[in-house]
Amino acid sequence: MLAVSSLRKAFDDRGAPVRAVDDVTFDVAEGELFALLGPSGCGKTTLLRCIAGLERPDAGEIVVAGRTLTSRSAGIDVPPHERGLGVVSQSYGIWPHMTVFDTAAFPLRVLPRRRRPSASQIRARVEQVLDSVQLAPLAHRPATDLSGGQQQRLAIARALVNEPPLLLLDEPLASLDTRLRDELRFELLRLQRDLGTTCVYVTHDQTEALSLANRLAVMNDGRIEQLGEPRTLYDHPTSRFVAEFLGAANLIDGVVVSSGHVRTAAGVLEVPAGHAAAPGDAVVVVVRPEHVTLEDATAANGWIGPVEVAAYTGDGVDLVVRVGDLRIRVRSTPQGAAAVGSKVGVRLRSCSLLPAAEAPRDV
Amino acid sequence: MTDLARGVRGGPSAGASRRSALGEHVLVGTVTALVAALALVPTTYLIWRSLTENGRFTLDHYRAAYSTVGIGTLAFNSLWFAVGSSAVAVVAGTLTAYLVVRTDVPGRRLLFLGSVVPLVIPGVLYTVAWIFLASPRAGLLNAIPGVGLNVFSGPGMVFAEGFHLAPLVFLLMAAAFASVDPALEEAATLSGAHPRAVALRVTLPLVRPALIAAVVVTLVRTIESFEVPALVGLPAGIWVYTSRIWRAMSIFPADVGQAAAYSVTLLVPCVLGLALLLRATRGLRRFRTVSGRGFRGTRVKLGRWRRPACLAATVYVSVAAVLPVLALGWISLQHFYGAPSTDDFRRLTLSNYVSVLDEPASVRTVWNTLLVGAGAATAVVVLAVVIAWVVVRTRIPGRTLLDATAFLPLALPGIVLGVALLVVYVRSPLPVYGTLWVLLIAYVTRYLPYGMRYATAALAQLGDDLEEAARSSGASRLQAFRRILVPLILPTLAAAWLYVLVVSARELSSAILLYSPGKEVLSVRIWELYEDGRLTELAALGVVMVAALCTLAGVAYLLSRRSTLLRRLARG
Ligand SMILES: Nc1ncnc2c1ncn2[C@@H]1O[C@H](COP(=O)(O)OP(=O)(O)OP(=O)(O)O)[C@@H](O)[C@H]1O
Ligand SMILES: [Mg+2]
Repeated sequence: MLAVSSLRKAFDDRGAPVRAVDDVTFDVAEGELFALLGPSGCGKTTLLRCIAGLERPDAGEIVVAGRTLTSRSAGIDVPPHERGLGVVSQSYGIWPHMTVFDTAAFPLRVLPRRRRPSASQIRARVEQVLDSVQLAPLAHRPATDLSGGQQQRLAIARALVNEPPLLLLDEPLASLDTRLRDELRFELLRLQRDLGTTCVYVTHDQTEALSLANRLAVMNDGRIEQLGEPRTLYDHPTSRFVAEFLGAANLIDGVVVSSGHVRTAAGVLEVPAGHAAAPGDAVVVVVRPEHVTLEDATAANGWIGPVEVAAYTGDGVDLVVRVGDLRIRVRSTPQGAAAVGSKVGVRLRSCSLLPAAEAPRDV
Repeated sequence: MTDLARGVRGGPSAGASRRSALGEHVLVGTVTALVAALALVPTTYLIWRSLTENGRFTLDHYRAAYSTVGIGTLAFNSLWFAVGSSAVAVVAGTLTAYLVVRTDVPGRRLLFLGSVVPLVIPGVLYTVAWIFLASPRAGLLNAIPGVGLNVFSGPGMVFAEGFHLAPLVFLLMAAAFASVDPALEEAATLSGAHPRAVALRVTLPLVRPALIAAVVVTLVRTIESFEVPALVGLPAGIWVYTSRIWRAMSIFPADVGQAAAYSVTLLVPCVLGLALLLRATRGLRRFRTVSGRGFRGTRVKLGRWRRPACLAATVYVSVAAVLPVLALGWISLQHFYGAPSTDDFRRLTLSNYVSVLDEPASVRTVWNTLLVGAGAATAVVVLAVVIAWVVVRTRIPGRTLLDATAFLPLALPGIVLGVALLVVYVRSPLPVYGTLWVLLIAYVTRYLPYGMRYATAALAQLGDDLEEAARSSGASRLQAFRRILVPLILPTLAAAWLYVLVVSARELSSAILLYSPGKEVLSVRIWELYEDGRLTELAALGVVMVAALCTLAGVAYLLSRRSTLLRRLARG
């Protein structure tokens, strides 16, 4: 549906180039919700703007539904208004001089005369799309009188009214408060599943990306660090950056002793066999706090140590347990709490391996 | 002991605060009386004069004014002149502002500069420059084969006036375009709108309040315009209200009653326009749209229109700004004024500069201009700061009325003010008429609203906390005003001061009725030189004047930029 290949875009920052998008390649399948996740300033917006046609990439190709929109080598650059994509930008771009209805109708009204629907068709279509984002009762309000969440839904309605093959969303929930964000997240997911629209969803919030996406790409410094399904990325990160960015993680240094065994400062760990590291290689073992349980230290991968910190968070308890020189973070149920200072057994139930030294980035 | 304590606590400080409250009231009272005297007295006398003769009520002046042959044409001329030249100014100013502020047209800095230059050139000089360029017999442009321009015509009037006013529109619209959030335009592009549709359906509606303001301001300014109708319109036999008023005053004996009747008629559209303007600018605030969030100053890419747009803008700027200045310069280097020929190149001379600057009358005129200009600037700034402070910072009742009164002179055409001040001061016991004082009063009245705009903006942007900190450190309100606020807004005030000096030096339409021999100012001197046919010397004096005004305006611009910097520092 969407194919982006070898895309590059650099900005000039007083002589020094800022590589906002640095050799990015990915595909998005029909009907998929693809998330681009990364810290602030990693180039997500720039990448999206390249796809939308608002920025001209320095190199690379963008193909949507078999139509080449950008190809620097072939000299193709379709202007943004002819791309026919739906875009919801970081600042929604709600016009202060239009009503809700006029805003949503705008994309239909600016279609070339041959393809423009009649006034009654436009009305029907706009009512339908406003209904789907629950704004139909507000159709005749000035658009900027809406609340933040309503404006965001209006921006989505405007982007969807043309039934675009591809919807680009740039941090659509970022400027809303936490509760509204959770609510709208599922609302958005329902809408996307109902309509079957292919989406590229940009965010810096890992919960949003993990819960919404069919597949996601983690970006860092203009590059894609890792790309895959949420579960794979969460459980099997291939770099320290991805491991830490997607959630809390215990990163334990060690050396491979044999296939399936890693020696660490606190003892030998059993790890899933079939990893690429050879005996003698330095590695990092990644263990999520929720994959550590408080139980008997006698089982495999069981260790024992005193509780250093116990923080109650309402839906659970975060513990730090000291094992030798290591501090292991544990995510426990409220019942499983242990007093600070008491000795507990911890068991690392699931872990993955990273090479200790990250491959140097080619320049 | 207790008495002593009470005395220490309550006595002196209570007395001091009573004194400072009294000082405040005296100050406010004085200012209100002054503003009323400046703005209301002349208008009242004018209306009274138009309705009386020798102290008796009569409608004869109106009857006489409106039974003159061709009065229908007079109103019609005034109307099409105002509408036509406003249209030229609004279209040219808005288009160039859009190109310079919102698009990637090349050479934006130069275009900006060229778009504001005519603002500095006095109207009388600008009009004479166009006569140099496009008079039928001696026009420099008419020396080009195939060109046959005649400035002494309806279109000539419209374009000369329109080009001179376009910079005003340019500045208004440039500010408006700069405050449009680019995200709103991008949203339209991404909705599939062609760049033209984006400009027409999103950008234009967003700047509509500013556009309305620009239309109203230019309409009022063209209705009250005097220089073009007098210098270009009269030779062509095209009469408008302002030239008619001038004629009624310059015949002997002057027909003051008739001039007053015409003046009162002219006041009506101007006051209406001002009221409209106030409504439009109220809308302006609601439309302020910069969100800051994700703001990135992306410009509209013109693509293949980039070169044609640049070319068109360059041609416009050359015609409206560069050519008139060049014409003045060229004529100032000639031995005599006449039909241009190629021989002129070999006969250049600086003698005009020598003769015109050597003349005692010129020296006196420059001195008078500086004296009256500096006096008016100082008075305007002091009055404006006090009024602005009362309006912005105090809760004194009647302050909105004070604000409105100080704003009123904006609706007073210069020539109408001239008639009104004549009516007042010819009979007043104050020995003002026939001195420079009457010019000073005219300028202070005319430019008080401009000074107010500077001062109110500066005060409104300065947070309350600075003044409050001074108050809690024990300063009285007046002390806080004098020691904290005034120093902080000083650069803005300096810019306002220079601005008033510049516009006073340009002023002709009220001075033309109020000056007396020996008490001329520069703009009047240029007018006299034109009447005397000393055109090459006029050009030389004009070149010197434009250079001086450009320098002053440049300094004012730098100062007001510094002051925004300072303001930002002051706010942390
Ligand atoms: N027009 C521009 N000129 C110069 N530098 C730019 C421009 N646009 C983006 N950049 C730079 O490119 C980099 C990527 O910016 P981008 O806006 O794509 O980041 P982002 O991932 O969307 O961040 P955020 O999460 O804060 O929105 C940043 O370093 C930014 O400063
Ligand atoms: Mg961004």
